[in-house]
Amino acid sequence: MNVPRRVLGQLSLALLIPMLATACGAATPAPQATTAPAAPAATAVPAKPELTMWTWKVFHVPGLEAVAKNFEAKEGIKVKITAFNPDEVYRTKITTAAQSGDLPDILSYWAGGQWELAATDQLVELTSQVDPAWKGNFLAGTYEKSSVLTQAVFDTCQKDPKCTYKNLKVGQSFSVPYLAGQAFFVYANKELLTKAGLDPNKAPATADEWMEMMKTVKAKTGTPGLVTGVQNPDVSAFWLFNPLLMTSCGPEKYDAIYNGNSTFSDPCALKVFNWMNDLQTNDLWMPNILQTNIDPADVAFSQGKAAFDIGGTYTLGFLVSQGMKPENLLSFAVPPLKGATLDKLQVSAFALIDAAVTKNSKHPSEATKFIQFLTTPEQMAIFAKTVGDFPAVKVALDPEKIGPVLVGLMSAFSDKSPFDTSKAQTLDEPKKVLELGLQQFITKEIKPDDLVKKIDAANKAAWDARGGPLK
Amino acid sequence: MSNIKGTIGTVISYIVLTFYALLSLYPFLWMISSALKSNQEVLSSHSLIPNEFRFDIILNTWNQLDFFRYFVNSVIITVFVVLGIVLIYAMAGFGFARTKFIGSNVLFMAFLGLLFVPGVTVLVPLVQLLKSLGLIGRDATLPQTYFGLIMPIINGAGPFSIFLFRNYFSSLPSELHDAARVDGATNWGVFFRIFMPLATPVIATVGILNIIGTWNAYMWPSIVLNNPDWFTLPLKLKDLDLQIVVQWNVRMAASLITITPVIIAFLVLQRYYIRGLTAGAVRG
Amino acid sequence: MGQAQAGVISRPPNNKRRKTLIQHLRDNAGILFVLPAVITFLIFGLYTVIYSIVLSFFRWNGFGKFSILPFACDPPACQFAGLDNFAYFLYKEPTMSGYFWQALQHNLIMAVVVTVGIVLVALPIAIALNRAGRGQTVYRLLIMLPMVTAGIAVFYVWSFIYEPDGLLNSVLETLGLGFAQAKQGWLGQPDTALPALMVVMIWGGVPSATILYLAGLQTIDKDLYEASVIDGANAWQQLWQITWPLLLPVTVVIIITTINSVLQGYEMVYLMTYGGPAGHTEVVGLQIFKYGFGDQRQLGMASATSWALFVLVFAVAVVNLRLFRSRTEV
Repeated sequence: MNVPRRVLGQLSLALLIPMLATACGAATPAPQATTAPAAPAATAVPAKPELTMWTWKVFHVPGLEAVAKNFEAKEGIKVKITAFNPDEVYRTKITTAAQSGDLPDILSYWAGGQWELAATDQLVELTSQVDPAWKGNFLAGTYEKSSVLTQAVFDTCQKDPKCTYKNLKVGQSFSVPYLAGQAFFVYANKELLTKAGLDPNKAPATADEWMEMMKTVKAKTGTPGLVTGVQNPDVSAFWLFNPLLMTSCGPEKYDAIYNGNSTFSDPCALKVFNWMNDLQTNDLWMPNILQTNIDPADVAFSQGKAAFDIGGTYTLGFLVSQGMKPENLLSFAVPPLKGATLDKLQVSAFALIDAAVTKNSKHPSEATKFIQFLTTPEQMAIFAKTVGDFPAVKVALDPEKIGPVLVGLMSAFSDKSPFDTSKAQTLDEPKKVLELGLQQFITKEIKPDDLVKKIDAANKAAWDARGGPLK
Repeated sequence: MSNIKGTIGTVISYIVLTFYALLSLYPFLWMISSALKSNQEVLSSHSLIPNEFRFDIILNTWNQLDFFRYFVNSVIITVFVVLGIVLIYAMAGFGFARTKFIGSNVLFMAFLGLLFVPGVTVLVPLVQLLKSLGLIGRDATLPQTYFGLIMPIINGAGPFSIFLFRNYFSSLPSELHDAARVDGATNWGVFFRIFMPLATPVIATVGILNIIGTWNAYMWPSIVLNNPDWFTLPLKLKDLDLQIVVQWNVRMAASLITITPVIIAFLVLQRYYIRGLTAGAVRG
Repeated sequence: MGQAQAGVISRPPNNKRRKTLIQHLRDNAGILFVLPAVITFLIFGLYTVIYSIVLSFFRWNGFGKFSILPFACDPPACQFAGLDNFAYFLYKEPTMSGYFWQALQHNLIMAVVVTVGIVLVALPIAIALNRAGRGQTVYRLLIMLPMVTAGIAVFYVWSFIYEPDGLLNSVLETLGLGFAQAKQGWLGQPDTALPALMVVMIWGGVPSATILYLAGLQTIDKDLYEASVIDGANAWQQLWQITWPLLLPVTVVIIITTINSVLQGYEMVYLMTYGGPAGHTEVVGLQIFKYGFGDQRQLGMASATSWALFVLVFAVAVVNLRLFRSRTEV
């Protein structure tokens, strides 16, 4: 009996020592801790409030901090940036913080997703605050498209029994965009094109030509044609399928198909499905493509493991940081199929991340001042240069100010894109069927004709449940 | 004859053990080697030996981290969680195994059932609960916040710990208990003087499992903690992902730094664990 | 703590007919040992359990108000849904229910294969460890290492091993087994993805099972084996007649915890495949996670699916306990 008792004695000693150590250690941070949050509430309120801002993009933190520093120099108000990632943790953090009343003064949120938050009275309304001057800062297709509640979004919501923001009105605004970008870009490895005997400076005019190029590269060099983050189910659908569908069917038909007024079995859509399926039947995907996510896909491309990479504005900076030389890259928008309705896809910027002021904030006017400061061209240029990501504000196309990579990209944008004016509403159920189906092309578990039938059925059922197709 | 058999058996044993030990060790070695490579090399080479040893990565990671500050936070939380779990659930295990009271079986089954209660959807109600208890939010102090962080973790470890302790205590021979009672000891005396000291193997098992789980916990602490000064080590480590590209070498270096204290704790506990096991065997 | 209250357990009931209140209290004083656990649960567990049951009958996006004490559910963010949530994922909504049943099937396959796999790997290793005199400490440490190192980093290592030009395919190549390679990567092919995941699950579960078995083995009386040798039993018979039956309680613990973690777990699938390729490793836990934390924000749906899963896991556990308990008693 003696031995084990001694063992326990030693065990509890072993546990006690770190505890004592931590008890002593805890004494140091504790006083700071208790004073810090109490200070603004009690004494220092009128003097200099300290604001907090959350984001889920850790790599944006230095850029936001740079802007915050300038803001402090100008206004004497400190803004503390905190990141919580990945996405799921951030979403959950916001949900729980909304429940406990702990939302930060300024919240970053997915552009166009803020309505649910706004409808439950979590965000400060900015409609009247965003005056023409401020509005004028934003890139076309950002603020007025996803930060203001449009008629189309309103109509869909009113019809949908599950919609949770029916209490909002058309024209209301609760956030401003600060990060923009667009998918729909294809990058080609010029070295591989040259090796395959292709002209490295000639972008394909049609998707069919593009596929021929992939086949040639595969035949001549043995390198597979295409890579992109197929593991993420959104990627094939949004980055490749949608632009092909848009050019193949044209904007009106595109809207009609998604909104339930036409079908995916329309020849113009079926052609796109067939093209996507041919990528697999011609064995053009990089091996393991279904387990390849966005970052690994770009890494593989930068290592010469595939001739083409589909991505967006954010991809270029990534490729360069992986050691690819910009002059070894040919980039072009996803080309249309032969005989498509539109002969070229125009690409413009979309808002990706918005900033909003929460009702929790004790200093809403200061917080609004900060997001206004953040979205000035000067500060956005600093942000863009620091993080190498694309601002939602018109900044001077000056390589000195924002870096050469972004300048190249921004000049590739058109002012208008058919997606700007599109009123298509992608419902969740058909979207899931589409995404799974595009992956099942690769596992050879479904044929285009069958997939089309399945999506049409899902789309019809989904619109019926919302009171019929969107008019 | 039986000697030869025994030798063969021993040889086979060692072969099996060596093979499996390598299988267990490989990912860990990979982590170490990746922490010493450039990011490109992590992604392109399968060799465990780096082309070029980049000790600067681990050093930079360490320097950026302000390690001790967040280490202390993590230690406080882990120690209180483990102490709470061992004390509360060893008692409960003993209660179920060695005492009788009305409804004991039903209550035990209820606890066992809690093992299967899904954990995903309880985050929101937990936060509402902590809010109404004043344990979360802008005005909550560090001790309050940490208490609010710790208690749900302890509660979550309850069912399995009770299960292990009860099983262990019921497996001990009843003579132990009877003899002590003849000497006039109460149940409390029996528990603290006889059963707890004998429970070292279970305490070590429960301890190791919960130290690892609590130390690495990410989701729950990230929800409860708003003040970056109060962050735990894993939360702080996320701040190192400052580039668009995932820096796998930095991540691996960071992971190494985080788990090193756990490995040390593990090695220390291991000693008690072995003695505990031996004591059990001697008794048998 | 009140020594006076501490009841003495199996004291023969001296007077069955007339027990005073104090005697009642004394006889039941053992409950005091359980009380801290019960109180902890009542404060930090009960509310959340009831909350998530109630929530499964509502449609809620997590932003507006939903609470049960006092009850609040403010539309439109929160709406009463009756049994809709259950109906949707069980049969009514073809996409959701399709996913659910497919995921459930994967869960059940995993539950069986991973549990059996862990027992089959852990038991021989524990026996080998038990025999290993000198090296035991070192081997045990190495084998327990995955308990400490498992996590994001290690899952990434495994993904690397499984890549088309990863370690596993290279090893097969050098062994002259090139035909057995998974050309698309072990996690990238519909037919190999689930088995490849299950191997990692077994790998992660073996260490703690081995230690539990080892602890069990060391409590087995060595005389039993010596006696059986005298009776002419061989090693195989010893295993079946002595070791296995005596370790059965340990096995039950391992089975129940493994099944529970396999049926509820999603972290590993989330990190390694996210349910792919094309849904071939989708599991129910991951769907709950996507409903709860994904961009759809269907917290009621997440609750409903969790409780459906709970019923299943609980039923499996009870069947297991029954099955093994009756066997051990025979």
